[in-house]
Amino acid sequence: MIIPLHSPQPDAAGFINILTGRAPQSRTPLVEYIVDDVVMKPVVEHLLERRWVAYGQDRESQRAYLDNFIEFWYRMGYDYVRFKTSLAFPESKLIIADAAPGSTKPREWADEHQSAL
Amino acid sequence: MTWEDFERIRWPNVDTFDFFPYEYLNSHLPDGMGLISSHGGGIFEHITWMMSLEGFCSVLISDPSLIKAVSERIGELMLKFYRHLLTLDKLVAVFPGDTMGYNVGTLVSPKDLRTYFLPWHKKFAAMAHEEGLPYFLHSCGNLEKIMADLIDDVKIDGKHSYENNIIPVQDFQKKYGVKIAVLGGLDLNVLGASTPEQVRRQTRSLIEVCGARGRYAVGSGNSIPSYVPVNNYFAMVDEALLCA
Repeated sequence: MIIPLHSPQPDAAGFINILTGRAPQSRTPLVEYIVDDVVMKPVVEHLLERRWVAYGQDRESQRAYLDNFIEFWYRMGYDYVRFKTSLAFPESKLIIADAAPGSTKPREWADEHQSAL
Repeated sequence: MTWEDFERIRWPNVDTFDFFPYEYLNSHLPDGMGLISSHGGGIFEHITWMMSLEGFCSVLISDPSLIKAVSERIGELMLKFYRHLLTLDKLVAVFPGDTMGYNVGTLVSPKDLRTYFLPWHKKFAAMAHEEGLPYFLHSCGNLEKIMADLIDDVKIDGKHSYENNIIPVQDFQKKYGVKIAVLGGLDLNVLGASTPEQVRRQTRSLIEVCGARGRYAVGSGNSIPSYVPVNNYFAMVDEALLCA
């Protein structure tokens, strides 16, 4: 395996140029929408040999999480990081334990029957 | 949901929203890396999460003016959110998710999507385009009946989220790849339930077929959820980098 890359050379501008057709497809870049923390964590701990920190309420844990987040996308060969959060709309979610092996987090499912309002 | 409920909603405030993680990422990216971002969750997703899909469908029939009021309020807040997001100088693309379909069609009628939701995507896309940025859309399910709207009216620059049982990404690209970019497409059933060698073969095949046509990036058909075996994820990424 060549991952994690030791000397990544991300090229976000080139990535966008390929996808918008402004440049020919000189390579096939990687794209990802979301990588779950359950998958990211062993990569951070075992391949990147960094301490995993969950995103908490305090700035220190948030910075540590985001540093790992950047390092993950960078060393796995992506040209970008994708990040999103949501405004806190009043919503009803069904929360149960995540059944995936190795996961200790709760998993949210949309409540299709009960409004939060 | 009633008009009384609507009046009682405590709407989030964009002015007090914590944009710290976006700003931190924007100022800490290594050279050459870009930031791709969006509001978390799309306008159709949020209205159905607020009202429940069942409640939403019921009100859509009994009082469409209430659907219009709620969707406009969500849309306005998201518009304000995007105004802030688009000030980040490392942002290279706006890439939101808004799942509007399921296996065999859209979750509500194409007409209702055109009336209440696609106009907001059109506004968000226009804002991105004004800044010279592409607008890629992640939306699951069978969207065949609104693809022309998404391409010609909303003006998406690329589409993400594919399932082989709906339309394999190779076939989708053959149909729409001249007009928009195609992102990802490695089916989640393959990623979740195959061997790493099978994942490698599928990855290589996508690069050979879709990459050769252009405007293509390889990745999962949806995302990397917690149940994807880490070794399968490695196989996809490693093979893609080896092929590149």
